[in-house]
Amino acid sequence: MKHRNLWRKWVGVLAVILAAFLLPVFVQSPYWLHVFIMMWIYIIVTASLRFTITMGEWSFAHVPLMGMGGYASALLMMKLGLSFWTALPVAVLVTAVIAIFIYWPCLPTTGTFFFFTSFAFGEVMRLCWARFKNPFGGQGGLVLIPAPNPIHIAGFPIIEFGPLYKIPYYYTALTLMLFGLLILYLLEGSRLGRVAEAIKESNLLSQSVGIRVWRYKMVILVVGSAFAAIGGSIYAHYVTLLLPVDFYWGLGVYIIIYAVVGGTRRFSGPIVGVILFVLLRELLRPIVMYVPLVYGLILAATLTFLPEGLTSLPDRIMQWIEKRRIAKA
Amino acid sequence: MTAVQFAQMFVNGTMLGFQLSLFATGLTLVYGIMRIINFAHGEFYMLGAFGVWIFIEVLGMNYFLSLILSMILVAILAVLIERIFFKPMRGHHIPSFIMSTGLIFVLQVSIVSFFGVKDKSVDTAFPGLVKLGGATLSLERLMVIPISLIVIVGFYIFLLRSRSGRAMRAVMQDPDAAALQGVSIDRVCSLAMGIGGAMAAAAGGLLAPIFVVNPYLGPPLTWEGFIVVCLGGRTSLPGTLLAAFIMGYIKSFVSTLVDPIVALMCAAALLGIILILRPQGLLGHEA
Amino acid sequence: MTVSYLHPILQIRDLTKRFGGLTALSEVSFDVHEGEILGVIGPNGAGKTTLFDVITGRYRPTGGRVFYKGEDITGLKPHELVQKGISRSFQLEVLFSNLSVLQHLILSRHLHTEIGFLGSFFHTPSHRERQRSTEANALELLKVVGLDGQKDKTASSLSHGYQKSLGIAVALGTEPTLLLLDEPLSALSPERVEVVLDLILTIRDKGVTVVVIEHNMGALFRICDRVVVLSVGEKIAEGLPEEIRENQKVIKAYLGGAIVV
Repeated sequence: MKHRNLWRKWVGVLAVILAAFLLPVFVQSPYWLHVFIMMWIYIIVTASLRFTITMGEWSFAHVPLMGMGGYASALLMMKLGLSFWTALPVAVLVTAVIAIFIYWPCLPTTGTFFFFTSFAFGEVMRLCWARFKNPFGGQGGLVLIPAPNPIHIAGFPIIEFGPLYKIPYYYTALTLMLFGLLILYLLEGSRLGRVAEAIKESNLLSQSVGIRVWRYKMVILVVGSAFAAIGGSIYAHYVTLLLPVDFYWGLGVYIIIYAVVGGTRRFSGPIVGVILFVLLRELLRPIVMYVPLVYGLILAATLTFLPEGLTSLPDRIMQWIEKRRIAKA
Repeated sequence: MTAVQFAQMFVNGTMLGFQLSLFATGLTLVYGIMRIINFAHGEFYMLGAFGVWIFIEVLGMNYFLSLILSMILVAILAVLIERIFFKPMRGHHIPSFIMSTGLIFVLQVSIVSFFGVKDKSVDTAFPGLVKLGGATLSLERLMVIPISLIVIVGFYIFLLRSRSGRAMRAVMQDPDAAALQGVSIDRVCSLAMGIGGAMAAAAGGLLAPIFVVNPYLGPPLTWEGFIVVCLGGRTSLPGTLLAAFIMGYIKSFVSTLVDPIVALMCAAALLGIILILRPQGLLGHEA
Repeated sequence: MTVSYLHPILQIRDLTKRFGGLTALSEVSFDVHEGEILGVIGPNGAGKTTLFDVITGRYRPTGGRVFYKGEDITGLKPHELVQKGISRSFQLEVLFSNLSVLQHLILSRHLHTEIGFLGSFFHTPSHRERQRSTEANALELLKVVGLDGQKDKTASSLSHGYQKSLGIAVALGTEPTLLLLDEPLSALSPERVEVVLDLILTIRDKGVTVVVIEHNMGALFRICDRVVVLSVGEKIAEGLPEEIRENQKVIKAYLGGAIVV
């Protein structure tokens, strides 16, 4: 019985992935392709934030580190002439190293303190982009970021990236997002995930069984930032413009909202959250001005009625059914 | 740096210090009594500024009357928000923070839908310049000082002398003991939120003629407010005052001598350093 | 196992701990001998739990030293001390509330599982083999404390008595040579008290030195070899249970009643 459910779940997931790959066949409009490209980017950033939350701490430096990935890969291409396909992994590594420096001083703190110290040091980094026109472009931003280099596969026509060719961006973003989600999913099921859970449940007990809590927290934060950097890099070369204000607390709050409303307990939470809010925004295009209002109200409603997010709904329903069953018996 | 420049930076810093004092005292009050993180506090500031703009520019009222009316209206809104949204979140930091970000959106969009996003300006109630020992200072900036002082002193008299004030101090120190002595926690929480909102609105209204008025004034100031609260000691009102002026002078001097962005960097770094090295702040008690 | 009085496994020298203005421990000195069961008693606020906290590295002492098997371990971090063989249980519920009993024990084997990270990531066959043997180890430990029947229950759903046993089992999972138990008998029914006393004796017989903080002196004195008494941060007496029973200073410290044992 359990095996059948598991099988059904994976078939469902594969079906969704297949649908995502086939989408551009049915959806030709550049506008909608853009919506989905941004959706893939937000999903990987939100999922990686949720990954860091599994060990019990909320980081407000996550989105700034996404930005760092973008700036790093843009500068690697623009100043060092690297190909996008090299710049991306190098930018991820650079961001991971910077993340170590940002999070290292924060490790002694927990909870709300950690939240604010991570914000503080993330801000210092972000303000560097605003302060130093060379190389970051200052408050005016980094402009004319080159698109990813064309892909040459023997026997196939050259795949070019550019403002008129959204489809390569679509598939790049989709593939990288799926790759990231796969890794995050496997990590959560690995020893790292078990220890993260333990640390969240009880820092004290974890220490007393010999778990080096600081080390694990740092690994989890750095891994999370690496995947955020992937999202940032795709973003940078797609939008071709990076502004420090793009990674200010506003986006950080949106990502947190996507994660919270989707639900942080389950892996699918961030995915559900992003899809909901992105599609909702499109639905509300006619009254675009009210979008933040609706977001705010949904957030308030979720926190009041379903604090563990939308993906906790199936469990809640099961519990409710159980309670009814026991009451009747 | 000449003496004149120094005088100007000093007056500016003092003015910013008073602005932050008014603003951050409300934050400390709300945190100390309700143990929540209200990120929407800056919106009370913004609404205070808008209130003054509406009353002066649209309705042609007198400045002081506008200020007082703004404060009262924002206080009422603050109490409503507390009763509806924050009551179940007392004691919970991150849920209240997330909830308050939702409120920011709601309030900002409401203002934008009525008044648009463009900057508005309020004509100064105190035109003119004052010459102090060679330095030329604008009267309106100087007037921030005595008016804020009146509000702050008024608040402290209320806190120290009145029954409600004593109830508030009791809850800040030990909510359980206060409840046992018959203090209505709900009333005190609403009072704290109302007073905090009113003081933030006062700051907004006082600075409205000096800086611009737009719907997005809140969040940057809220971050500064939190830095001040953490620096001073999250539950220490005297600490908040001290930290507000430290922050004001840092902003003023660093902005002018170096760079406004570097000033922001100093503020951010200060927040991080204080929370790590001395989490209880300069004058706070709890670890 | 006989107590070896020639080998103090743990030596506390002038241990002092201040929290701001509060002095929790003041110049406490005593030895723990290999293979003994040492009781630590004292009125509330005497500093007993703080003593454990300092020994296990949760707090740095303000003054004094701690020696383990002759080595200075003062100020070492908790995970280093666990590696050296010192383990503890907690007075109040310190558990992974939402995890199952079995998961607790698997985590307690953290230091003794050689699961490579890559192996766990890719779920290789060798990883699964090691997982199976860790689970087997964990189940053995659960049998010792009598929790094997509830291995899949969430820790928060256990009764108080079983939660305490789980805490002891987790501490045992790290394979300690020195085990510190903080009030293992508190709020237990008389039947469970007997079970836990037997458990402590079994643990000692397996070669583990045990230090026990307890208020239930009647039970404690039946199994411990020696007793140390703390009051207001100071050691006020040390000796055999019979001696402590008669000790006037100890009786006075417990606020004017004879120690009812």
